[in-house]
Amino acid sequence: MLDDAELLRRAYELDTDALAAIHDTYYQPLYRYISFRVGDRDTCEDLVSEVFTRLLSTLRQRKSLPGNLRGWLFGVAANVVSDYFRHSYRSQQTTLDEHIMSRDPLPSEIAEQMVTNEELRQAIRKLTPDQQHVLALRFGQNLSLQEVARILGKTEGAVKQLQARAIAALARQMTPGVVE
Amino acid sequence: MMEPSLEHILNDCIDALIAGESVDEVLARYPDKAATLRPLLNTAASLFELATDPPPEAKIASRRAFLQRAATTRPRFMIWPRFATLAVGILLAISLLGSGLSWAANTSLPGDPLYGVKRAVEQVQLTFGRDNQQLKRSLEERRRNEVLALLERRRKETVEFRGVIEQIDSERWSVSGIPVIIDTSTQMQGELLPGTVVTILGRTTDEGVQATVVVVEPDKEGNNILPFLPTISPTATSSSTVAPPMTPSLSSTATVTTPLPTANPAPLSPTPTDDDEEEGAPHSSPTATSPLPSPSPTPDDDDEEEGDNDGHGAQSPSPASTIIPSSPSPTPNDGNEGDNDDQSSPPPTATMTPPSPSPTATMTPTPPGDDEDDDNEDDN
Repeated sequence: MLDDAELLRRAYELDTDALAAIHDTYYQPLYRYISFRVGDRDTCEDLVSEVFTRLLSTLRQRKSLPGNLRGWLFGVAANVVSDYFRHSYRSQQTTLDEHIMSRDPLPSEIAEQMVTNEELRQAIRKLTPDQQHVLALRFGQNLSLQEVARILGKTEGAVKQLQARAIAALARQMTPGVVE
Repeated sequence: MMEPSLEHILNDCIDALIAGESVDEVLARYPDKAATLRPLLNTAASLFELATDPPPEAKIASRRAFLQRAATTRPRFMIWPRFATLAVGILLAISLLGSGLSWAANTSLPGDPLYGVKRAVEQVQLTFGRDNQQLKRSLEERRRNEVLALLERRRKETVEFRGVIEQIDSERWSVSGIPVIIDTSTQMQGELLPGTVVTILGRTTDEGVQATVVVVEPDKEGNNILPFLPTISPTATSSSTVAPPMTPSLSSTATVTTPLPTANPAPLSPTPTDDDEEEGAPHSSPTATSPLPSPSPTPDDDDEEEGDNDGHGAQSPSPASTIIPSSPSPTPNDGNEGDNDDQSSPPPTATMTPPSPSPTATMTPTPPGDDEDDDNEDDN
């Protein structure tokens, strides 16, 4: 298995194997990252594709990428999601969670879960960008505090603070009156 | 503002949640703060529900598009990328004709410097070709030949190809003659049965293609099963060797297989679909509930003793647990009604026994009946 540095070196040459390896390694984490924040499956696929398009663009222009490719990709994913919500009218709509729609038909459960998930995503959008990023990496990727800190270029202490405050803010939105 | 000690506790609790503990287990550590922590932890726990895994076919499509974009948009000086890409492709195709480079590109394999040229030329051919179906089939065969060539030369390259599942034997499959290795990390989707056309994504190794993704991927016409191919009951597919696909010379209605003769009867009952569960309808599927039509004693009954890594006497389905079991309906034409027709059906006209010395499935054709789906265009 090639490390990121070697992958990147070959990726700059648009080596097919290296690009395929990057894609195969990061497609699922990126999809999970984006699906944490966007419920619509087609949109998730489009946005992951946009992340890879931006990677290609960066490689073609020979712009430098950091050694931490994963962190860079998650950063791009965060920007892509932000752009999506900023520019898309769909952000104003309540989208059906297609991931849940594709499951076995249990109407009441689906309805409840859809509402809960969409409410959660809407509440998450009200957090600061850094808080959103931390939650998506911690709860969407199950990354450790150290890994999240490395990806964000912050200290573990800063990540802990972002995490705790994000959860508190979310809980206040989801259960008003219960959490102060 | 959250007090520092609570913030610290909350972070510890979140670590525990991410490590897999339940909210109640975590709260038990801080009984005096449980009332404060519970809504916070419930909120945190609900966040695990948000992220989902991508469907394997989406990954394949994305990969294909990504590599294609990389291959077709290399030059930086292009003002109109699409036009320029096309123009370069055409010029390339023309210039390659009759040249030595053409031969070199045509014989290149994944990982070779000229492989990108080869694929670019193919794209041009696909764009301007008249008989695209024929061409696509030809290109699919070319991909498979490339994989075989890589395997023969023991080269390790990333590959993608489309083929027919010929044999499912635990972790070793055969797909259009190509050995494919399946393990727990392999993502699989769709009804993976002998005869199904699948797209395989993986890497060539000394022993075959180590699959990362196996997915039933219908072609443009929506076909993903070759005509006249058998479907195998869940039990049969979960065990070892399955006979190769029937030849087209069989009746077009031949579809049903019998399960393993050595199988424990319990798994033979169909895995009910959710619809079935709701309706509570008993299954009339002959493969599922009716006595087995002579489970074709295997030539070597001692298979039971030897071959089974998983075996405890009565054979439980072997671990192809990652395989998504087929629908219990024995015919691909759907319909419970169709199943009942089987009772009054004419006797089978053909029996197919596997060539392997340790066959585990016998295929008998179903009677003529719902045959509209059998008119699939061939995928070969």
